[in-house]
Amino acid sequence: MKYITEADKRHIEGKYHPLDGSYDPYNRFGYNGYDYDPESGMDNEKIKEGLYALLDELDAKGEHHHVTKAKGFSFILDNTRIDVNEYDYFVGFNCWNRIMSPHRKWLKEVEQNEEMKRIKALRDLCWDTGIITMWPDFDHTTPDWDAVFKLGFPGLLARAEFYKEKHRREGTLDSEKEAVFDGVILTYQSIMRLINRFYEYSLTHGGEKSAEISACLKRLSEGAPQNTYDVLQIIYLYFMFSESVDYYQVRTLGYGLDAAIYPYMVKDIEEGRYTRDQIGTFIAHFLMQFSAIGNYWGQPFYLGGKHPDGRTKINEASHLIVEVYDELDIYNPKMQLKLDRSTPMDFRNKVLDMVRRRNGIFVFICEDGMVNALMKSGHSYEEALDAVITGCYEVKPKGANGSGCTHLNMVKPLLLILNGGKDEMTGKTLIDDVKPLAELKTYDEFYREYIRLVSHFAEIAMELEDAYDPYLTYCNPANMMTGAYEEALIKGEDAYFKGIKNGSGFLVCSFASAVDSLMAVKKLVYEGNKITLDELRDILNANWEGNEKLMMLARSLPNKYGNADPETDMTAKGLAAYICNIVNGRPNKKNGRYGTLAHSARQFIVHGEKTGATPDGRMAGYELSKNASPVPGMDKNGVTALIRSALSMDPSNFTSDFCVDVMLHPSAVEGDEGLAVLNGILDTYMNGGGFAIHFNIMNADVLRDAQKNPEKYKNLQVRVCGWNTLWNNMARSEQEAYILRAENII
Amino acid sequence: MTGRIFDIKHFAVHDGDGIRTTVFFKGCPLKCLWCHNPEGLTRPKQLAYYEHKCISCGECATACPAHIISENGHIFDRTKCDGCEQKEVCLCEPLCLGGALKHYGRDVTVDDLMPELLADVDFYKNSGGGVTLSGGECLLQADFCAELLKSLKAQGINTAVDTCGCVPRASIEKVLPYTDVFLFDVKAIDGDVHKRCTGVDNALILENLCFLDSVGAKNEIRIPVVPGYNNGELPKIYEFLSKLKNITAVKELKYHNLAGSKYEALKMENNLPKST
Repeated sequence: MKYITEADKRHIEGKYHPLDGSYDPYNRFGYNGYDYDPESGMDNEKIKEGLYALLDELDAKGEHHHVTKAKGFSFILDNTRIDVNEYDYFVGFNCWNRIMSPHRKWLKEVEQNEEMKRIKALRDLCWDTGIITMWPDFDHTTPDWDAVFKLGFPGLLARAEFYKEKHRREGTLDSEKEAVFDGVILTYQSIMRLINRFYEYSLTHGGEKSAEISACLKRLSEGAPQNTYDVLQIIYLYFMFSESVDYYQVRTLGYGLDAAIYPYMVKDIEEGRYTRDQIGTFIAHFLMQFSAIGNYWGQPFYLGGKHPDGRTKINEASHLIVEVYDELDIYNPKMQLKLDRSTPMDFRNKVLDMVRRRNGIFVFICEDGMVNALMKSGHSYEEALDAVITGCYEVKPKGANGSGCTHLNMVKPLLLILNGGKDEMTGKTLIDDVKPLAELKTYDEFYREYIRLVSHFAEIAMELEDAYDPYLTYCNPANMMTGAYEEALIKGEDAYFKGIKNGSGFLVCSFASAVDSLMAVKKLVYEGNKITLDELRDILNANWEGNEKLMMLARSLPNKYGNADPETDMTAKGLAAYICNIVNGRPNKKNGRYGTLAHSARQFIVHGEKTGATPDGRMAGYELSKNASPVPGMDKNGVTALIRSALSMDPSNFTSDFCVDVMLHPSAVEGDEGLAVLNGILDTYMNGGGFAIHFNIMNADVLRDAQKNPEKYKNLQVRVCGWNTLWNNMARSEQEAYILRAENII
Repeated sequence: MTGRIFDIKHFAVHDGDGIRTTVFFKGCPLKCLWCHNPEGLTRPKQLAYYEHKCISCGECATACPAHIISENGHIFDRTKCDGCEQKEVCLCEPLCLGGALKHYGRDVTVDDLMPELLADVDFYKNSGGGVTLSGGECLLQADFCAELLKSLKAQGINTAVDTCGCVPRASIEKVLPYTDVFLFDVKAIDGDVHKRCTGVDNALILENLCFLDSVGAKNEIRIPVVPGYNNGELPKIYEFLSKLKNITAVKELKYHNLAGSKYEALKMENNLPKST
C-alpha cells in the first residue's frame, strides 16, 4: 500500500479491540485493545475505583456537577495509561468505558422527583410498546471546529479564562456561571496536562515516528495547530476526549474534513514541509483510528459542498482523502458528500466508482435539498448553505447542535385504533378514548382518527423530550463543548442547554409501513369490502394465521409507497406534511426548535420487534420500513418510480433530514454507462429537491439472502446478458449460477 | 391503431445510452436458439406459470376453468387457455396472490403508452437516456412504432430501436425519421450459420444494415456471442462492419443460459445452448 504499511495498519486495529475480531460493534463503550505501558498510568479498574470514590466524595459535599464532572474528567486524564509507538502517528490513551460516566447516576436522581417519575413511567410505557423511543441524547454534537483549529487547546483554555474574568469584572459571574466556567477550565487544564504527558512520553517512544510525533505534541501544547498533521491530531484528540471521557459523541470530523485540512495542506506542500504522499500517510493513520474503533453506526465525516458564491468546496484534499480511503479498503468512518451542481464531474465519478465497487460507501447530501429544508425551518440562506452534517444524514447550521432521539412509530397508532387504544403486543393501554370501530364507517373517518392519534403521540414524544431537556446538563455537563463555543462563554451558559442553539430531532419512523397500511385498510375494508375492521383486527392479532391468502392479497395490492402510485403518493404527501407541520419549528427546552427527520436509525428493527402484524401484509415482529424508503420488497416498479414517490412528498418538509435508500445490482452500474446511470439518478433526485440518498450495490451475500428471503427482494434485478431479469423470476439453479459468478467478483 | 406489447421496463440501463424505458413488442421473425425472451417470439397472448411461486391459493380457479386446485395443488390445463386473446385484461393473472401467473400480451394505443413513457423523462435528460423499442421484433409492428416514435420525438425524447433487422426495408423506412439510434443485432455473416442459429437467412438483415448505414443512420451493433454456435463468425462480422461508416459502437453480448425458467413457465421448447 502506498500510504500505510500493513504493519502500521494492523497495529492501529489492535489499539481499539482484540485483533481476532471478537468485539461487538453494537456495544462499544470502551475501546481497549493491546495493553499499554503499566508505567504510564493506572489500569482501568484502578481508575474506576478512584473515579467513583472521587465522585461520591464530591457529591457528598454538594459540589456543582460541572465541577464534579470536570474533576472526574481530570482524574481519568491524569492517570490513564498512554501510548506512543513506532506504528502510529496518533497517540493513544487507555480509553475509559464511557458508559460509566457519572451521567447515569445523576439521571437516576433526576428521575426520582414526582414529575419525572411520571415522565419516566410514560417513557417506559412508550418504549415497551414500541410507539415512541426517546432517550437523553448526547450523541449528535460537534464543537466549533473553526475555533478549535484557530485556538488549539491552549487558546480554548485561555478564552474560557478570559470570559470568566470578564463576567467577574462585569458582575455577572453568579455561582451557576462560575461552576460552568470552572468545569470548562478544569477540563481544558487536564487536557493540557495530558498533552504534555504525551509529549514527554513521545521523546522516548515512537521509534522512527518519534520526532514527528513529539514535535506535533509540542506545538499542540503551545498553541493552535500549524500544519495538516497537527489538525488531524487535534481532531482526533478532541474526538477521543469528548466521546470517551466527556460522554458527548462528536459526529463530524471538521466542518468538512477536506475543508479543514486544505489550507494547511497547501501551505505544507508550498513550504516543503510535507509532500502530498506524506500528508496521505497522516490521513491514512487518522482514518484507521475510526475504522478500528468500529462502532456499528460508523463515524461520519463529510466532504464537499459549495461556497456562498457558488464555487465548489471540492479541492485537492478531497481527492486525497478519497484516494487514501479507497486504498485502506475500510467502510468506517463513513463518508458523506455534500453534492451540488458545482461538484466537479471527475470527483463525482471518482466517488461513484467507489460506491459501485464498495457497495455504497458514500451518503450523498444534496445541498439544494438541505438548504431548502433548513430555510423552511427558519434559518438564513448563509446558515443553511454552511450547514453541518452531524450524524447519519442529520444537518444543522454551524454554531448550533442538533440532537435526535425522539422516534415515533407511525404505524402503531393505526393498530391502536383497531385495538381500542391497547397495544396489540403487550395489552397495555396507550390511549383510552379511541373511537369504537363501529363509528368509523368510512375511510375518511378512519383516516381522521388515525391522524388524531398521530398528533396525540407526537405531542407525547415532544413532552418526553421537553421533560428531559432541562436536566441534560445537570446530568452531563458539556464541559468540553462549552469551551469550544464562544457564544456559550459569552453567555456563561452550558453549550448543551442555553449556551448555543440546540435543536431537537423528531424521527418519523416506519413511514412507508404506515402509508401502506392505511392504503390496505382503505382497499381491503372500505373499498374492497373484503373484511370488516373487527375481522381485520382479529386477523392481525392472530398474525394472519389461517388467513394467509388475505395476507398475500394485502401484500400484492398495488397501492404501496415507492411505486409512483398517485393515490398512495398523495396519502404519503399528506401524512408527511401533517406530521412535519405539527413538529417543525416547535420551540424546545434547550434554546432551539424541533425539526423532523425521515430517518429511522435502528428503530425500524426495534419498533418492528414490538409491532404486531400490520394491514399491509407484514407479520408481527418483522422489520418496518426505514427512512423515506419503501417497505422492503414492496417497490416493484424500479428505481425511477421509487425516486418519483420520494420526491412527491417534498423532502424539504423534513427539515433535519430525509434519506432514500436505493438498491442496485452491480451489473446496472458497470463501466462508463454505469456512471451515467448513477449520475442520472443523482441528478434527477438532486434537481427534484431530494435531500439525502445512498446506494446499495448488491453482492453475493445479498443474493444469498435474496434466495432465502425472496419477499424482501421483489425488485432486485439481475443482469443476464443484454438484458436484466427479476431475481425472483429465476429458478433456483439459475440463481445458484449467478451467485457463483458474483462470488468470483473481486 | 394498436400495438401488441408484452412488457414495459423502466430503469432499463442496457438498451442504449443512459436510463431508459424499454417497450417490448410481441412477435419475432427469428427463432434464435439462445433467445432469452421466449414470451416475445409469438404474437398471440400467452400465460406463463411459474410453478415455484405458486401458493395454491386457488384465486385463479375462480376466474378461469383452465386452473384447477386439486389435492396435489394447482393444475394448469393449457389446452383450455387461449391467453385471453380476445380480452383486454387477462382474467386470472391479476388474482394470483403468489405472482406465479404472468400474462404476456397487451394491445395498446400510443396514447395509452405515452404517459408511462414520459414519467421518467427527468431521468432520461439527466442520464442521456430515453425510450427504446425492443421485442420480439418491434418493427413487425412498424406503423405503430413509427407513430409512437414520432410522438416521443415531439416530446424531445431520445429514441432507440432494438431490431434483428429481419423486416422489409419499408418497415425500417417508416421509423427512420424518428429514430436516434438503431441497436442492430448481427448474429452471423455466413448464411448457413445464421439459418442454423435463428431459423432464417441473413441476406435481408445485412442488406438492411447496409441500407441504414448508407443513409447515415446511427447503428450500435450488438453481437450475441454463443460459443459453439456463432463465435467463429466474429472475424467475419468485424470484417463486414469495417466497411460501414456509421457504426457508433459494437457490443459483444456474452451468453448465459439463464432463461430456462421462462421456457418452462411458458411450456415452450427450450433449445438454449449450455452456458460455458
